Amino acid sequence: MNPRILFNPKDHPNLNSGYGIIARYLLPYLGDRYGRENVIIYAPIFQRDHVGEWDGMKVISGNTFDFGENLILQHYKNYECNLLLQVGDTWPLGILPDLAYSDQILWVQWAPVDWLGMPKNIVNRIRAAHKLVPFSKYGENSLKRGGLPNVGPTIWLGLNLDIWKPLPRKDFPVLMNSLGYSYDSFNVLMVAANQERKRIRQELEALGIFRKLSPNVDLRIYLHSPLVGERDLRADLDELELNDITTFPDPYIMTQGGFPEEHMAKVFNCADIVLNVAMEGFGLCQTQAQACGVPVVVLSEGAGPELTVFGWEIPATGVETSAAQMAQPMPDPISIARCLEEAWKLKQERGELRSQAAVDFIRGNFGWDKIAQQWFRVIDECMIDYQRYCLQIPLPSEDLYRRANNLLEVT
Amino acid sequence: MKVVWGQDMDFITHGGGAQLSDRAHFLKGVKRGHDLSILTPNSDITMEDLMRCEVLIASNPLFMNITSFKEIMGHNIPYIWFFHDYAPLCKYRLFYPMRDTCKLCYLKERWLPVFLKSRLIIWLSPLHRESWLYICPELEDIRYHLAPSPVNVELFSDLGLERKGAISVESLHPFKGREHVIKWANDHQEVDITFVSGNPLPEEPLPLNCKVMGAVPYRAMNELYNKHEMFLHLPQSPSPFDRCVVEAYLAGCKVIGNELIGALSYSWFKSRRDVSIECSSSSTFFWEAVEDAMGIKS
Repeated sequence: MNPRILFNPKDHPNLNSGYGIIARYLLPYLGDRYGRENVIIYAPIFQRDHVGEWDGMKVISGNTFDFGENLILQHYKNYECNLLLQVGDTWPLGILPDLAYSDQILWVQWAPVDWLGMPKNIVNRIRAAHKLVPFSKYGENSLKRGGLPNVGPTIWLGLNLDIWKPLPRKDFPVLMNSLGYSYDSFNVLMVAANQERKRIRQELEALGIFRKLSPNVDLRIYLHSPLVGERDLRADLDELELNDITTFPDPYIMTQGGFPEEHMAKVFNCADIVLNVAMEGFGLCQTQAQACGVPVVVLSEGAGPELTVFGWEIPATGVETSAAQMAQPMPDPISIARCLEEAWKLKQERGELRSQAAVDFIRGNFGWDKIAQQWFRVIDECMIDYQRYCLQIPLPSEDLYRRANNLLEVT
Repeated sequence: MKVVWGQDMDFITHGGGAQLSDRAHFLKGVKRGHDLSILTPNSDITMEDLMRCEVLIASNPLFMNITSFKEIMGHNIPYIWFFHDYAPLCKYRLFYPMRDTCKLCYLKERWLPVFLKSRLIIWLSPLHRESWLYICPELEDIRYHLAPSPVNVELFSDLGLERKGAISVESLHPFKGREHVIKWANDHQEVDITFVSGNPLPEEPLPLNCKVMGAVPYRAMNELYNKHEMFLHLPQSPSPFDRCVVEAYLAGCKVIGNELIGALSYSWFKSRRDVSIECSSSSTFFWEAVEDAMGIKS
């Protein structure tokens, strides 16, 4: 049985967000295998009025700025889909679980788990999914510990390995300069769309401590995040006395779908170290950094440790519980500052902070071809389940049809 | 014998086809001296009560889920399955598609171990059993009994009225063979056909020789059958029995059916006399089979 997939990432594949990138790379593989006419792209954010085609696949519109749950059932029926593959957070979902519980859709979710424990309100929602495919083994273990029976195998997020690879920074002097970096300075990179969840404040505190403890180090920070988003970062930097060494991206380009991956791969290659000390469901910047051989500083909870070959793990010192009952650990700025000291020493010893082992790990595990193969297995299994669970009233067998036409008369 | 009879609706007060059969069998059981009680979702029978019974007759009790049955099995309570359709094996119950993929059904995986421990399985016809065995050949060796629907044969007889055309009951539902009866109507435009119990798809036009009437009280059906020469019934999926075929036949109608009618799969469905005997003694044979399975001398 061939699937007809309603693919619902949060973002359109043209967008340079994590979800946009996932859609951009997985969709062509799905289209090749199952037929482009059998993959319908429904990515409501930033495409409210957009309909058309993307790489030969139909794109349909949403009318809200969330996951567009309000139109999912209608799209699923109108386009005669038999599988909803949604990529994104599970905790905000409100309509989808009911549709799945009532067998109106076959729902597969590729999802991050970026919280501690397993809040009941989330468990009750995601139990309805036919399959939960976590972004990380950490997520898989958490979901299973939460008693969920529908947890599929972990599928990590892929990378375009033609783009994400070690590049010599000496080739990018103009870019280095625009990032505020120099060839002799200690160049720190932070990438964050969500400034609170990414713990930008704690990371900046750590950088402030490091700067005070190591005043002779020529520290430079490139903070790839909106200047004013969830936080007023300029105010944070003022308070922590980091304004003079921090550079931000061009805000105009950030409004136009963000920077292309080719640019970002160069940015990562210009950095000495990437800070991402946050509870991550996956954390693309962690694999992106290591694909370039650059070390990362990650949190000891979440997906970070399983993805890190070259880097440092930071323990959590506290927990913050959000309005959605999600508990997220907080990193310890002093521990981060100590890592920065170690990293700086290592750089001085080696000349540069690069790891071939990290590059090999990423190249061996994160190519989209490998990720797509894992998805084919999940989708093919779902199609078997579709028949096992008889999710649509099937037509009678041909034999029944023949027997129905064999008339009997009893007088 | 202390028997608990599990069913979704109280068949003493509800009047569908399955309830008519259950009522007849139940009352026959009482007459034979058994101590029967009814277990429905609204009754207050507890697991302790069940543990005191000698046998549970599971008469399509959809309210009893797999967990209930695992508990029943855990307490070694003997049970007999009395299937009225294809539940709980097929979630669509009456619209059982009998496809190869049905053999992969998750419900089979879930329920087969329960069926295999049944002391006896009662199906409504040879066709009914054959259709179950298509998915669950593992049940081939389980003790079984075929129980035609018990029909009150005194209510259905040839009244000698003038007959014309054909009558068909509830057959305009797609799953009950709408496509086939309409094709038959088109192929036999000389025959006027009365469809009883309405047309669920009124926007789809019917052939001109078709007339639709609403539901008719059960007690008025004999006279209605008697006004028609033929009874037309062409189901789309294997019907377990179809008591209306028996009733129309006993009322003097010629039956135009197909290979998917359970009642017609009995070898004795050739004469009104035999049909009358078999259907009127169904409850007696039902209890003889139950008593035999439970090691009780009739």
